[in-house]
Amino acid sequence: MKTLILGIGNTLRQDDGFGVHLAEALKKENLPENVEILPLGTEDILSVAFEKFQKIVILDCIRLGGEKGTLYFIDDFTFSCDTPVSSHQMHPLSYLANQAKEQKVFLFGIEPYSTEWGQTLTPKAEKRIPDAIEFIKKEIRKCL
Amino acid sequence: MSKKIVIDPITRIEGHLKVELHIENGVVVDAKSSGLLFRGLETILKNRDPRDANQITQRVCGVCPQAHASASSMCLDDAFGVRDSIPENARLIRNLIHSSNHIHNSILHFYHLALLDYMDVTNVKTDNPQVGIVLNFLKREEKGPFIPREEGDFRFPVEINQRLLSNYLKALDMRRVAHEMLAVFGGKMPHSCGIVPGGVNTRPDSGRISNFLGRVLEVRDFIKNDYWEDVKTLVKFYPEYLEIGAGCKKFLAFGAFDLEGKGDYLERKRFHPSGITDEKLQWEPLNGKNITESVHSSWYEGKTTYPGDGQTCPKRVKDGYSWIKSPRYNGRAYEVGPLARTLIAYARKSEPVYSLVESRMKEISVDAKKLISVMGRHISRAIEAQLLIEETISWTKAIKETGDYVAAYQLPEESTGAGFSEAARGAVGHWIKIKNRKIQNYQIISPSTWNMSPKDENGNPGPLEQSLIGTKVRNEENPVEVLRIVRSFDPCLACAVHILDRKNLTVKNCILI
Amino acid sequence: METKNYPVIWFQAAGCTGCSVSILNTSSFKVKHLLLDELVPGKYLSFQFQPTIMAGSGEKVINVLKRAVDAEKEKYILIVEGALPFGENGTYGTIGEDNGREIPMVERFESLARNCFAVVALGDCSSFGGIPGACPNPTGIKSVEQSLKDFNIDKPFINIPGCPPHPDWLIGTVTTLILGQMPLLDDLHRPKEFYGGVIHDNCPRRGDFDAGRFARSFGEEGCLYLLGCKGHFAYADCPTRQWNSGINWCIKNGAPCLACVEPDFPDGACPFYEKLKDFPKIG
Repeated sequence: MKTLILGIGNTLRQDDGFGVHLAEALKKENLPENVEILPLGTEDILSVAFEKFQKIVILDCIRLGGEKGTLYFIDDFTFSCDTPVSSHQMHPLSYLANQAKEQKVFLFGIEPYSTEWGQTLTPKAEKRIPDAIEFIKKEIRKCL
Repeated sequence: MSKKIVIDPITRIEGHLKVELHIENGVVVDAKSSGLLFRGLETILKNRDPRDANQITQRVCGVCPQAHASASSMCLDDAFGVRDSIPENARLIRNLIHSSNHIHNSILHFYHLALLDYMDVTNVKTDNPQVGIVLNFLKREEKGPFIPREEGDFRFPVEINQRLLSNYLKALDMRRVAHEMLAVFGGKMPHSCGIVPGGVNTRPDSGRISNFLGRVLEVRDFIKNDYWEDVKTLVKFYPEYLEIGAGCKKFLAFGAFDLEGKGDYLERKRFHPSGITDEKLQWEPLNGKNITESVHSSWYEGKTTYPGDGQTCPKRVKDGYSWIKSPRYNGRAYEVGPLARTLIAYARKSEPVYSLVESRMKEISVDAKKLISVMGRHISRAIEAQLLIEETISWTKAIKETGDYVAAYQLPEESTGAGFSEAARGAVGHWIKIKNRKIQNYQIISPSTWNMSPKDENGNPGPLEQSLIGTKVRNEENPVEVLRIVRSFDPCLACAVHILDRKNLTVKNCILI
Repeated sequence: METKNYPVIWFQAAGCTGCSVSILNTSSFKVKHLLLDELVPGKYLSFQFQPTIMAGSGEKVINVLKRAVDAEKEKYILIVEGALPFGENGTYGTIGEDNGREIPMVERFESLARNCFAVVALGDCSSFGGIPGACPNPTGIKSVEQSLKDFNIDKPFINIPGCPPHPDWLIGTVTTLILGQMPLLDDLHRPKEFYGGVIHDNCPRRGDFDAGRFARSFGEEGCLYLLGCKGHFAYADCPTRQWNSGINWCIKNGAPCLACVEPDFPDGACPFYEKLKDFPKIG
C-alpha cells in the first residue's frame, strides 16, 4: 500500500504555499518507507504518476470560512467535473477527478491568514506547521 | 422583483463571453461577466525551449498577437540578460511592428466591432458606388451577418447613416492595409515573426521602408479625415453615452513603445507612459509590487465537525480556492486600455497626447473628465490611432542603414524574467521562470483579465461589472445599452481566460485541528 | 439569372480568432464583396453566423444555429475555426445556454456537423489540434476529422490548416465547392492546389542551401536551416503566394518556417529556433 503526500500551492503567495512548505518539512521527518512526499508547488500535475499509489494526501491552502489558522483534514468529499479554477493551469483536483479513480484522496490544509505576495508563510501559519506534522504522522501510522 | 437576463454569446468581441444581469425596475442591479473558454496555454508552455514562448504566446489571441510577442520578447530579453542591450534599430522596428497592430485595432474596433450597435445597415437609399452594393444585398432574403440584431435605437438620419456605412466598408480595406504595414517588418499577420528575443530578425531596406510609408500615408488619411469625423458624429447623436458606462474610474497602464532602451520596463521612457490615475486625473507612478490578485467566489461548500464536538463551518463560503486570477492594484479594480493610456498620459501632461486631447475635447465641447464613459473609450482609440500613425513616420526616419538588429545572448540554465507592454486593449504582462534551460513556469496577465475580472473577496465587482451596474435598460429583449457598454471595453477573452466561479468541491466530512 | 445562396455557419471553438482576422485580410477577393456580393456569377455566400462580425448577440444568434440544422439542413457549409475541447465533458468551452444549461462547443458542433452540406476545418487547430492540442493537451482537444469519426458523422470535409491560414486558401476552396466540385485533396485532406508543394522546393533561399551558405544569426543572408527553419517538411505555397497582399512572408522576412500547416504543429517544429537534428546530409 503506497501513499503519496502531494504539496501544492503557490509559494509566491505566502500561505497559498502552505502545502509546499509542509511537504518540505515532512520530508525531514521519519515517515514510513511506503510514503512518498512530493512538494509539487505549481508544477505540472500531469508529471505525477498517480497509478503507483493507493492513497493520495493533498496538502494545500483551503478556504472553508473557518477561523484563520484552522487546519482541516477532509476525508470525504465529492468533486464534480466542472471548469477548472486556475487561469494558469489545470487544477490538480480537476485532473485527479479524471485520472485518479482507483485511489483514495484526502485533503489537508490551512485556512490562510494571508495570500498576498510573499515568499514565506505568515508567521502565524508557520507556527501551525508542527501541529500539522504531528497530525499527519499520527494519521499515516493509522494507515489513513 | 429582479429579473435575470443572460447574454451568451456576446458577439463582435474576441473570444467567448457571457454576461448575466439582474434587472430591477429597468435598472441593472447586479452583473456578472464570465469567460467561457479555457485552453491552458501556460500548461502547454511548460518544459519548452524558452525562445519558443515568443511564438506560442502570440496564439493566445489572433487579434492582438503582437502585444504578446512584444511582452514575451521583453520577458525573454530580461531573462536572458539583454534587456538593456537591444540595438536601436531593433527597438524602432519593434515599435513599428507593434504600433501597426494598435492602429489596426482602433479601426477594426470602431467600425467592425462597435458601429453595428448604432448604425442601421438597412437604412440606405442612394444607389451610389460607395453603398450601392449594400442596396443589392438588402434585396436578399437572408441578411446575415447583419440580421438578426438588436433593434430599436438607430438614430442617424439616412445621409449620415450612409456615410458611416460607406466608411464601414472602406475601413475593411484600411484595417487590411494596417496589417500590410505590420507585415512589411513582421513577415505576416496575424502571428508575425519579426520580433525575436534580443531584437528583430529582419533587415529593412529602402524598398521595404517605402512600402511601409506608402501604406502609413493611406491609413493616416483615413484616420484624420474619416475616422475622427465618424467618432464625432457618434458622440453627437448618442450624447448620453458620455455619462454611461464609467466603470471603476481607476486606470492603470504598463506603457508601451520604448523611447529608450535602458532601465526597468515600468520606469523607462515610453510613448504611452506607464502609471495610474483616477477621476481626479492626477498621475502617479506604477509600482509593480502593488499588483495583487484577488480570490474568487465560492469553491467549497461543506459541513465540518470537530471530533466529538458539534461545531460546524459556514455552509457557503465566499472566498475561493488558491491560484487566482483577478488582478487588483492596491486591492482595487483598475481599468486598462486606450482610455487608461490616454488619461494617464493626459494626467501626466505627456505630449503629444495632452495637446491632442485638449484640442479634440474642445472640438466637441466636452470636458476631459467625460472621457470616463462609453464614448470616452471610442474617443481615446481614435486619438491613439492618430498619434501613433504620426509617430510611425518619425520612427521610420530614425532607422539607420547600418547597425545591429539583434543582441547576442546565451540561453541561461536558470533565470527569471518579466515583460510589460500594452495590447490595444490594455496592460499585458508576461513572467517566466527558466530551469535546466527550459520553461519551468510561465504566467500571462492580460488586459481583459483586469477589465473582465469577476468580484473579488470583498465582493467588489470588476471594471466591466461596475460599468454595467446602474445602467437603465429600456427593452430587455434588446438590451442595447448593455451591449454598447460591454463592447466599449473591446473584450478579448482568449487572453482573459476563465471563469473561476464554479463549485467543484463538496466537503462531506472534515476534522478540524 | 437566378442567384443561388450558399449559407455559411462559421463556428468558433477553442481558437484565438486569428483565422477570422486572416480571412478579413483577403485582398484578391475583397471582404466587402465576400460578405455582400456574388462569389461567382449567380452564386453567393451568406454568412449567417460569424461571431467576430455579426450584428446580433445572445439567444438571437443561437437561434440562427438552431434554424440552420433545421430549415437549412444539408445546405450550409460549416466552417470550424478552433479545435474541439472534449475534456471534462466538454465544459472547457461552452457557447450559449439552453434552459439555463451552458452548452459545450462539442455538443453544438455535433448537431451542426450532422446536418451540414460539408465541413471546412479552418486553421491548424481545427484541422489537426494545433496549439491547444499541443503537449500535454490539457483540455482533451480533438481535430474536426477525429471528432467526426467519434461522432460517427459521415460528411465531406476539407482541412485548411495554417496558423493562421492564408485567406486565398479558404476562399479558393469555398469557390470550388460552390462551383459544385470537390477540390483535389492530399492524404491529409488539404487541397493540393495550395498545399501541394513543399516550401523548401520553392524557397528563394534554396540556392543558398544547395551551395552550403547558411545564416548563423538572425538578420544574416543565407539559408535559415541552422536557425531552425522547418521548410523542408512544410507543404504550402507561401513562397509564391506570399502574405498580406504579397508584401512579405516568414522566410523573406528572415524568420525560419514553423511548419504551421503540418499536423504536428507546434510540437513537431519545437524548438522553433533549433535545427532538426535528424535531417540527413546537412549541418
